[in-house]
Amino acid sequence: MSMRKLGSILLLAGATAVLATAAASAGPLSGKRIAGLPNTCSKPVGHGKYVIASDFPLQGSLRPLSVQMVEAVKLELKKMHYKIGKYSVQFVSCDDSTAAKGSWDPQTCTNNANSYKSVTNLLGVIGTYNSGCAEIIAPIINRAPGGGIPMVSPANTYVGLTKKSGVAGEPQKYFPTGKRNYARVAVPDNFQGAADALYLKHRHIKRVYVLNDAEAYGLGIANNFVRAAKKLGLTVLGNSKWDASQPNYQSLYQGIASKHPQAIFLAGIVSNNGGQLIKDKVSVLGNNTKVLLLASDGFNDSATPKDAGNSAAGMFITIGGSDPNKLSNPTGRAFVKAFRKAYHVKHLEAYTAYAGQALLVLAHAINKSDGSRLSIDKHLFKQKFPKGIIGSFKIDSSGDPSLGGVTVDVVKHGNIKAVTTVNPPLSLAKAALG
Amino acid sequence: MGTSVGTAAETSRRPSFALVPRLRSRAVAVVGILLLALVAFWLVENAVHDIRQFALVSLNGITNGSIYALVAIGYTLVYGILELINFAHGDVFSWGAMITYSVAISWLGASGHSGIALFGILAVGLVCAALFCATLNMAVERVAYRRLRNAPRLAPLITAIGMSFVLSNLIAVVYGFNYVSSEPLLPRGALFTIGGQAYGWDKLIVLLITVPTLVSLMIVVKRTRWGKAMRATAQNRDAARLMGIDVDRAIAFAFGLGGALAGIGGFVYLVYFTQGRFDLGFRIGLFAFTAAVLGGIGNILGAALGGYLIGFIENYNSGLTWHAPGPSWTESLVFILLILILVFRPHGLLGESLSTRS
Amino acid sequence: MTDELLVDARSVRKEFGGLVACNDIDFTVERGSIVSLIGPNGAGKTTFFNMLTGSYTPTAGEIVFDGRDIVGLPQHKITALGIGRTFQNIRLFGAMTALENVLVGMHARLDSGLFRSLFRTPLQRREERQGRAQARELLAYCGLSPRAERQYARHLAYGDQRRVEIARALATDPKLLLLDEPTAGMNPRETNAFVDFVRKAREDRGLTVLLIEHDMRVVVQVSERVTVLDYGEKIAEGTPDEVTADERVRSAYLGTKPVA
Repeated sequence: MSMRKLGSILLLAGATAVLATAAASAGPLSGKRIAGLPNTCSKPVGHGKYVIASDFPLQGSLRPLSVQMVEAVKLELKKMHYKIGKYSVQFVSCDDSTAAKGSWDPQTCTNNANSYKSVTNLLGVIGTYNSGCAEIIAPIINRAPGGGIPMVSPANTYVGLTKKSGVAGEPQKYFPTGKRNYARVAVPDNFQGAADALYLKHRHIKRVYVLNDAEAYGLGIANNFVRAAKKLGLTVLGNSKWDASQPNYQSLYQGIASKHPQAIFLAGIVSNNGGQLIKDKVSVLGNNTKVLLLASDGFNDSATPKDAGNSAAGMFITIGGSDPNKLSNPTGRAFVKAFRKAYHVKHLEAYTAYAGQALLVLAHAINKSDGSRLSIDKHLFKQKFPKGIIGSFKIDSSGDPSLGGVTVDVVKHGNIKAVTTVNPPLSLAKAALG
Repeated sequence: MGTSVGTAAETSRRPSFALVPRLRSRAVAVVGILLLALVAFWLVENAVHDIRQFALVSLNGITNGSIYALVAIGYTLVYGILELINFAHGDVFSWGAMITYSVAISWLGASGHSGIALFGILAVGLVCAALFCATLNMAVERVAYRRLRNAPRLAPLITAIGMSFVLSNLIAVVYGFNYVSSEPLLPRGALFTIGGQAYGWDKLIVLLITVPTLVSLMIVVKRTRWGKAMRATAQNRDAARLMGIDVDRAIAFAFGLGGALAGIGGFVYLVYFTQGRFDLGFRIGLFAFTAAVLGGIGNILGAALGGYLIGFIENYNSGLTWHAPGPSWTESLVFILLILILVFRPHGLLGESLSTRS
Repeated sequence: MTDELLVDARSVRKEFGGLVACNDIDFTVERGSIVSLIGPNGAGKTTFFNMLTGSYTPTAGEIVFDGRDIVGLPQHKITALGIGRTFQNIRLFGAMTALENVLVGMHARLDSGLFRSLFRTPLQRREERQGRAQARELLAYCGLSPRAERQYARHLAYGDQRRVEIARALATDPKLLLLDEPTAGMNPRETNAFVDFVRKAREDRGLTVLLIEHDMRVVVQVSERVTVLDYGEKIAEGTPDEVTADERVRSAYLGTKPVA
C-alpha cells in the first residue's frame, strides 16, 4: 500500500471517528422540544413565552458538578414561579460535552452556540463551566440577530474572557459587535493564581515547579501563578506542559526532581489524565507532605480522589470563591438549606451556589431592562448585589465580580474538604494579570 | 533472521511504505547522517549534563518501550500474514487492561493482598487477560476479516476501523467512560537508587514479564510447528496449503498470538500504571503501529525494536532537561521519525537488511 | 474401481466462465507407475493438477484418490491423504532456510496440536530433533549439499531451489507426487540425472509419479504411460511408443517436433 493510500485510509479513520463521536453525543430523544435547539438540550421545564438555557458538561467526570448547577438554576427559577418581572420563562438544560470525550467538546459548543442564535425568544444563557467552551460560545451568540444573547457564567475563571490577559485581542475578540453580553460571578483566575502563590508563601515554600495542561485555562492560571509567585519572592523552577495522552509521567517528574522543588503546582483540569499525574508525582517525588502538591480548581472534582486514590491524600486544591457549604451570609445560608432540602443532598459542589447567583444576576438585568436583548446586556454590568447568595458584591464594568476570596481545600480520606480561605490583595491579583 | 513473518522475496506482492524510491544520493545521506549526529550529540550532552538523570530516564524508556513492543508485534504478525492493518488491535489491548482490572482487582481483590497471594492473583489476572484477548482477536478475525480475505484491500481495512470502535465502545458500555483506577499493585520499594531517585521493583517486574514474553514469542514463531505454519502461510499461502497446512488455522493462530501479547501488554499496563479507560488503546495502538512500521512491518524483531525506540523517545523527550522539546512534542517527534525512516529506509529498520542478507 | 488404481478420475470437467478448460476427462493412474501428462500450452494440464490437489474444485465429475472421493475436500486435507506437488514456477518459502522449507512440509505429519506446540515438552523436543534429522536426510537424498541447508531458499541457485521443492513435496509423505515441468531450465546432463532420480525415488519410497513434461525425451525415458490433452480434451492415452505413433497426437502436438 502506498503512503498516499495509507494517508487516505487514516483520513477515513478520522472521519469515522468524528461521525461516531457525533452519534455518541446525541442526547435522549423526546418530543416537545423548543424549535431550533439541538437534542443536546433537555425538554423545557416551566412555561412561558421566553426561554433561558443553561450550558454545562453533563457527561464525564464533571457530571455531578454540572447536575447541581442545573438544579440550582431551576431552584431559583421555581422560587420565582418561572416569572422574571413581567416575563414568563421556560428553562432548558443543554450539554456541551460528549460521552466519548468525557468532557466539553469544541464542536458541541459551536453547535450549541449556533442553535442559541436561532432561538429569538432566548433571554439568556447560564454557563458555561469550561472557559474554553465560553471562548467559543461568547463570540457566536454576541452576533445573534436582535443583539448579543446575555450570558452569565457561574464557573468561567479564565481572565481573558473579560479583561486583558496578555493574549492578543482579548477580551475584544469575544465580542465582535463591540457590545459586551457576558458577565460572570466566578472569581477570575488571577485571583486564584495570586491566592495559590500566597498560600505557598504562608506554608514557607520557597522553590516551586509548575505543570500546566496547555489548554487556555491551565496555561492562563499557570502564568497568573508564576507572576504572583515571583512578586512574592518564590523561586519558580519551571513551568512546563504535561501531555494528557501520555501513559505516565515518571520521566517528567524525574527531570523535575533534579531541581529539588518543595512544591508542585498543577494548573489544568483533572480529566486531562490528572489521576496518573498525581500518582506519578507521589511515586517519584514522594508523598504530599514531603513535597507539597497544590492544584488549581480544575482538580476540584470528585474524580481527583477517585482517579488518584491514596496518592491524592494531603494534596491541596484551590477554588475561586467561597465554599458553598460554609456560606455565612443569610441569603447564602437560606439557599444552601433550600437546595439540600429540595435535592436531598448534603454536600454542595463547588459551583452550585454560584449557578444560583448567576441566574439571579441575569434575572436582575432582565428585570431592569426594557425587554430587548441589548438592554438586558447593558444591565449586566455595574450592578450591586448587597444580599447575594455568595455575599455582598458588585459586577464591574467588564463583567467580573468584586469578590476575590479563594478557598483552599485538602484531600482527606477520599474527600475534598475546605481548609481555609485566602483573600489575595487586589494589588497581587493585578500583578498576576501581568 | 528467521523472525520475519513475511518475505522480501515477494516484493512485487508486498508493497513498501516508501514515499519515494530509495534515495541514494549523497546529499540525502549526508543530511541523514547529520541528523543522526545531532541526535547523538543531544543524547551525549544530556548524559554528560546529568548522567544519573539520563540513566533513570533510559530505564523508564525501557519499561514503557516493553509495552509498546508487545502491542507492536500484534500489528506486525497480522500484517505479515494478511497485509491488513488490524486497527482493532489497540482496543484488544484496552480490553486486556480492563479484564485485568475486573479479574485481579474487582473479583480477587489484589489491592488487599501481598506476597504469594498477590503473586497468585496477578498470575491469574495475566492468564485471563492473555486468554481473553487471544480469543477476542481470533473472534474479530473470524467475524470481521475472514469473509473479506479475497475482497479488495480497502474493505477489511474499513472493517478493522469499525471493529476498533465496536471494541472500545463495548468497554465504555461495560466499564463506563471514566478511568478505572487502583492503588499500586506491584511492590514499589527501591531496587537501587540513582542520585537519590529510586528504581522500583515494579519496573523490574515489568521487564521480567515482558522480555521473556518477547523471547518466547520469537521461539514460538521460529521453532514450533504452528509458528512455521504461520510463516509459511505469510510467505506463500498456496504453497502452504499444499504442505498440508490449514491456512485458516494458521491465520487464526497469528491473531491468537497477537491477541495474547496484547492481553499481556494490557495486564502490564494496568498493574504498572494502575489505571485504564475505554480509549486507552488509541494512543498506545497508534504508537505501537508506528513501532511496527519503524522496525519493518512483518518483522517481529523490528516491531520490538521500534517499540523500545518509541519508549525512549517518549521518555527522553519528557525527562531530559537539556534542550528537550518537551512532552507536548512527543507525538510530533515520533511521526517525524517515522517519515525519516520511510524516506531513508523504506522497508523499516530491519526490513531492508533482511532482504539483502545471505 | 480396483485397488490397482491410485487415481481414478471420471468425467472431470472444469469451466471458467464459459471457457471449458477440462472437458469430461477420464483419467487413471496405477499404483507405483510413472505417468506423464503432455499437451500444448493451454491444453488443461495444470488445471487438471490443480483439481487433483484441491486448489480448483471440478465443475462436474468425481476424482477418487486411494479409494476416497476427494472432490470438495480442502487442500490441506488432500495433502494429508497423500498428494504432494511441485510447481512450474518454483514456490518456496523464500524467507526460510532450505531446511525449514522441508520442515514445513512435515507439518501435516507431526501431530502436535496448536496449543500443545506452544509448550515445549521433552516429547516435543524429541519430535523436533527427529524432524530435523529426517529433513536433512531428505535434502541429501534430493542432492542438496549440507552447506546449502542453512541458506535462505531465495538465495539458492535455481537447480538447488528445484531440489528443495522436491524434498519439501516428499516431506509431506505423498503416495502420489505431482511434478509440474520439473526439467524446465535444466541442461541435458541434469535432465538425465533427474530421470534417474525419479525412477530411484519411485523404487525407494513406493511412489506413484504424475508429471507434466514438455521434453519428449524425458517423457519417453521416464514414463510407463502417457496421456495427451489438447484444448481440454483427452486425445490419446497409452505407452510412450503408442502415443508418439498416434496420428492425432502428431498433428496436434508433435507435428513440428521430431521425436527422439
